[in-house]
Amino acid sequence: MLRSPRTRLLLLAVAATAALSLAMYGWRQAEAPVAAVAAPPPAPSTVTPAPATVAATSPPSPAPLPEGWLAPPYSSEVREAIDAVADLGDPAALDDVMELADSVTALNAAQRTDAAPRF
Amino acid sequence: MSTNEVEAQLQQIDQVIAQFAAAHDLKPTPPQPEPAQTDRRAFLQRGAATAGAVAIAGTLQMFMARRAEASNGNAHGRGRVGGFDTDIGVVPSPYGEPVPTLDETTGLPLLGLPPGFRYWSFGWTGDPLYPAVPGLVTPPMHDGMGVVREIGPLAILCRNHEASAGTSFLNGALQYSPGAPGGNTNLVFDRRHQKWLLSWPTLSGTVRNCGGGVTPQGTWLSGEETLGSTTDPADPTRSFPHGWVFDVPAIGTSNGKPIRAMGRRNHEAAAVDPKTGVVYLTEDGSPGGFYRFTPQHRHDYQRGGKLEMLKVVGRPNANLQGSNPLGGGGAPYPVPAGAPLDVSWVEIADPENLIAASNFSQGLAQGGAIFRRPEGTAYRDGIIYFVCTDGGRSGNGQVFCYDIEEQQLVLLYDAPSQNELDNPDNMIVTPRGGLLFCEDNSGSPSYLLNGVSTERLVALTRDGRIFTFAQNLVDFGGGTYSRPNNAVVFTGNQRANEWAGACFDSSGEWLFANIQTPGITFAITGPWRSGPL
Repeated sequence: MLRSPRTRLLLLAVAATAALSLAMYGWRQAEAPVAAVAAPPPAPSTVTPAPATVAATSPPSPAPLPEGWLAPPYSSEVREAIDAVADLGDPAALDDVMELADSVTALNAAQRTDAAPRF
Repeated sequence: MSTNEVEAQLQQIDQVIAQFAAAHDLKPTPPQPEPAQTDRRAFLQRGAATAGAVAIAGTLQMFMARRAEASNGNAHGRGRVGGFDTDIGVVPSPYGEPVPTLDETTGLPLLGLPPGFRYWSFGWTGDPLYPAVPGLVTPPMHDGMGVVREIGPLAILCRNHEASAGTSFLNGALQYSPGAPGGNTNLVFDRRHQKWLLSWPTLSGTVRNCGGGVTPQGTWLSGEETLGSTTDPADPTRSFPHGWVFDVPAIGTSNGKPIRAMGRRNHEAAAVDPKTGVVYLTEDGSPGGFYRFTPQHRHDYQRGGKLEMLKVVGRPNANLQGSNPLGGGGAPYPVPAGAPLDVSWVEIADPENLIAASNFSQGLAQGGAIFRRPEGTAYRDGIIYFVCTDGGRSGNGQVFCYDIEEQQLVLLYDAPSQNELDNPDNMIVTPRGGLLFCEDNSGSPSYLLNGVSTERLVALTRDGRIFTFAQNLVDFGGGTYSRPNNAVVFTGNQRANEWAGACFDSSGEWLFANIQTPGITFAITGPWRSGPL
């Protein structure tokens, strides 16, 4: 059915690519952020003093973090970043986001101990 | 192998894919709407729909392009450059023409986007940075930007600030010079909840951080576009030369130390070949050069490396600025689009030297090629793409491709008019294989949209279609706009100000971009898969 070794090799390579692509596609479907078309945009604010408001969405309840993860006093922004990752159940991702959280929190701590605007 | 043979084999591949999909209970996606296209493209689209994997279509399309090129006996193929058709024409946007679209954050109509696309603004000039400290606010002049790391739904971006007047916005280890206002800020966007979370300073004390580039190790190369020096306001005897590249991490802050071996010049953008670690660098000069830096250690640029400048073989000091009357450097070397030029590289032996012999003059003395304002650059599949902002026949921009393996340079596109493309600056290769350009005409009269100068995001597809994807509609008119905890009052028409920093996340669902002035960052999403970007 396959005419030549070259053809078979080609088909094998493309089939492998297809399998990988399909696997990635499936993963992306599972992981991809919602491309958001449901909610209508907010009404336009007037240009003259119209305080901006952030349209907050309600994230799903995060899974509980291991005890001790939240030792430093993380700010609300940093806590949100942690929460966004925590319910993935991925320890490596949790390590990464805690690295992020600790790094920016360290900036905060450095700032508090220094009178001049410096880190 | 003839085209018929290739297509016959692709039909067999379609069958294999269909069998694979059936065996794994994979359902096809709905057919993707496409404008008129060649039979070959339609054929490929059928194959993609069978398995529901657009990625496969890209693979097969690349395969087709490479086979067609090979059959022509030319590394680039007749009529194709870097996988792109050189027969380029303006078409309506395959996504639909841009329409004024409200910002999900402010409710203001800041951008023109195709129907179905949405965006969230963040990090306006003057917005508080993290941590919340009086006076620590987002610097102005947002420029190059890249997604440097992803943690689950979080995308971490590094953003340049092209500020040049003033003093450092933050002291400390991340600072280079106390007397310079530029630098970088990093941002975190939660793609899952469609929400910006925070932004913090990562580099300060630099000048005119213009373009840059993401490295394979997840850092950002931030280039200073200047040849000047600054001094410490507290101690004027301390002088700081500028014109360097800095390596900025995704997490934490930079060390404020320049990568001197990459050279001192008007740096713009960088693109890294992930196979070799070689960094390709543009120089925003009139004239300017195109460089490459081979690091001693591909993850630690501070260990030094070899800097070289591109030269056209057999044509010393080839003037590739086109017939732009503003161009200098002698008579232009006429290069038709699609004609490959063999190139070599000449070493810049003294990359830190600015006084006796600049990087450019060192390369020029060895026959280096002359470009007009090389700016944005990007890597994909063995090709380095770069633009020359106001090079070419009309002075509205050129797009070049450098084939790393073949060591050939090709002019892909020479903009004929402002309407088609108006001074491209930052650029990227999109997830589905197109090119996306940030227009920057430096404030001169630009493309007119309904009689108003308007900067755009312009796209070029692999089959030679060029179209407007997005418009800058930031216009406060005669009124003012103020933001909470921000002392800046936004006013006036900003539509002629440049786009910058366009970059996609790895899912291909989110495009991030900046409007440099008044300084706003956007996260944009929508039905990307319905078109070629």
